[in-house]
Amino acid sequence: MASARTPSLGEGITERIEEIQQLAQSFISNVGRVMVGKAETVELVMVALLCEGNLLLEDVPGMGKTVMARAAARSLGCSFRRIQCTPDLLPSDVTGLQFYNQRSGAFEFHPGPLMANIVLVDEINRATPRTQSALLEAMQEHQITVDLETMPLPRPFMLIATQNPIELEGTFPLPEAQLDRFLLKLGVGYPSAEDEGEILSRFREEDPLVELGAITDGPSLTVLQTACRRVRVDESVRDYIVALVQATREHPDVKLGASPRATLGLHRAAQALAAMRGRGFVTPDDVKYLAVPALAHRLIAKTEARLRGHSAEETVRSLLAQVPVPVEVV
Amino acid sequence: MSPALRRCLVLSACAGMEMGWLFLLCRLVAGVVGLRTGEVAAAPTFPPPWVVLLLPVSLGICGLVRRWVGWKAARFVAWAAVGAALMLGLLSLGFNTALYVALPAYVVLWGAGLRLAFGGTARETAVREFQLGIVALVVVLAVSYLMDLELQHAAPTAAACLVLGLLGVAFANERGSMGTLGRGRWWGVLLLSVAAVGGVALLAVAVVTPGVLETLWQAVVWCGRKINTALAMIGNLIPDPTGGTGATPPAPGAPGAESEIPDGVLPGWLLRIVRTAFSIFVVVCTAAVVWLLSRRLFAFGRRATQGRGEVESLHGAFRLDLKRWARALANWLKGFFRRHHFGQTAATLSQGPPEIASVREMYRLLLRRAARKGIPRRGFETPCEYEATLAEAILATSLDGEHGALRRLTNAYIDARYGAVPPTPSELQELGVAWRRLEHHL
Repeated sequence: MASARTPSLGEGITERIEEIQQLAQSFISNVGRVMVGKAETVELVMVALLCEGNLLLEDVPGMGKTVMARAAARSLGCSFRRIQCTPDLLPSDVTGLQFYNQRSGAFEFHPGPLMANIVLVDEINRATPRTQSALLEAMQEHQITVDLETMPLPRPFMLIATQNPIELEGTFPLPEAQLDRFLLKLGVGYPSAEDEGEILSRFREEDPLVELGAITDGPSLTVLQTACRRVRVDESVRDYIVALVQATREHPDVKLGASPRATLGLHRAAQALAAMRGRGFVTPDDVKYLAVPALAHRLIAKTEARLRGHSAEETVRSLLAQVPVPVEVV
Repeated sequence: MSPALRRCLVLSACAGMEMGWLFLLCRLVAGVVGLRTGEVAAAPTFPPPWVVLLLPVSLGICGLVRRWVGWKAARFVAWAAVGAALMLGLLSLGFNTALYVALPAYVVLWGAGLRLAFGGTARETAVREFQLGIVALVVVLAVSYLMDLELQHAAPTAAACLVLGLLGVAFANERGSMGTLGRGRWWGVLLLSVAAVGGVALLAVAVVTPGVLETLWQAVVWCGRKINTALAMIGNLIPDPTGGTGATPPAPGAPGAESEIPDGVLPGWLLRIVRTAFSIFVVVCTAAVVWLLSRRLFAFGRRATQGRGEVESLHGAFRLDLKRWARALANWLKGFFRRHHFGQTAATLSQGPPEIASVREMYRLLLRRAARKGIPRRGFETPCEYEATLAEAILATSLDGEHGALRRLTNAYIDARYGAVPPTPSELQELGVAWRRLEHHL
């Protein structure tokens, strides 16, 4: 019962949280028609949607990264554009450009694919740093600047990027500033044998992605996004989030720890997850659940740690096993 | 040679080295105490065979236990039992071992053995033990002689320990370089081999024909007296601030001059320096033992905290641990004073509705009872994670009802603690029932 586990947060919040919970369940089951056995990953995609955060999907080819992004976009019933990144892609190909209309005798703006609610940037690391940087403003401030003119992007806005960690030839690694702008970084992972069999049977005759319908629309999603911000975060849990992020900056294996943007991101993501689980308050379990996808990609490991094979995920996990959780003192 | 056997031999050899110099140290402690009362102490009689054979064998047993049983508590208990049996055996056989020697000796023996049994015996460890043993041995022998202590058993014990130490180094370096003793230098190996052979021969002589050793010992004493005479002569050259003339050196060539040199001819000030130096040495050794033991303890604590089998040795980790533990202690003390003197915890709990305070207090009671039962909540565990741990540990054999009760209490606590959601009166009543069900298991 969501209502029984919701503190008094103001008018109508209980209903909103119930709506968010129902939407999350519908979203997971809808996307689950295409992405078999990946409920946890889909749940995290929903977290990013509710936070209006950007998402980085990193995995080897063929795991369904693009399919997941497309399924998420179709489920939301929002405008969707796809950018296939290549080394010759220019910033104006992404943002749009001003052109001279001979008929009207004036310059007009021709919008690029960024002018959409959901933008899928496929194989983002194939774009040059110049083009990658053109995305920075859109990712953080939800606006673009073309020829000194700043234009807001449609809301809600979400950028879903995919990249392949194996094939590095002809790619440009994402700079730290860009990585930091992704709320979550997720991997899809191989399906189990049972799930793979299910995929075969579902995709035998036709592509279920084509039949995927929308479960909500942009304005409704915006309302729920606003409601998520009202989920209660107890002072002790807030301190726990801060302690966790601070600990990344003091870890001996880490050269550069998580930024304040990461603290904000983790805080908002925990609020969204709590609401999706029908709670009006955040628990330390929510924070722990989200810590690896929200923090690991923002850490820069020291060379020694990298040589020892210590990954950023392991570092965050080790911190989760060290930072004390706020519980009663015995 | 199998790795297990090799490990046991290394452990035994290192133990022999450690126990040997510790044995001599204990003798000196006894001697110093005796000298302070104006008497030359009767040396406590730790006979060499006991020290040489029993201790390494016992540590070898510990090594085997470590290797094949793999249960930490078994090693712990095994070493404690062996140490206790040894000390009891010595005492029951009528050896005049004073309590002030026996007790610290036992404690340090236990600690050192534990360190060896628990710690990895790397090449560096063996070399370090060897070097420490050599330095201690030289200092102990020199000071013993200068203080004119009874050295009847010291020499063979020291020699045997030296041999054991060398064997330890040899085994430890079986497939490696010579470490700090002679990295890659052939003459280091040769020197050690010769010393090892000489030591083994000396040990054989000590065991088989004590008479020969006695003769050797007389020769050593004679040399020592010569050195003592020379020191006394040097001492007489230094003006005595009290106006005394000091001992008169015998006329060169006078018959029986050597036998007329009394024991302890060194001037008092020199003896005081020697005693001071020896005291410093004892303090440093004790500090070293305390340091090493506490390092192991901290490492053990860190391992328990992190739940990992092995802990990587990091530069500065011990210092960081100390800081962390000190901070934890300070926090605990702060909490203690808050609870017992200022009542701030009660005030914190009483914030908000009384139902919330009740739930939080109930959960606190659960944590306390579980901790007493031996399953404390680890600092990084959330209530949900702790629920799983507790259910697995305590309620493994119980019915589903207890699991449900634990889950109900945990959920109520989560709602109250993080959501400030108070339980309804009926829920509170249910929680009371749940607590009573759980109480039997805690």
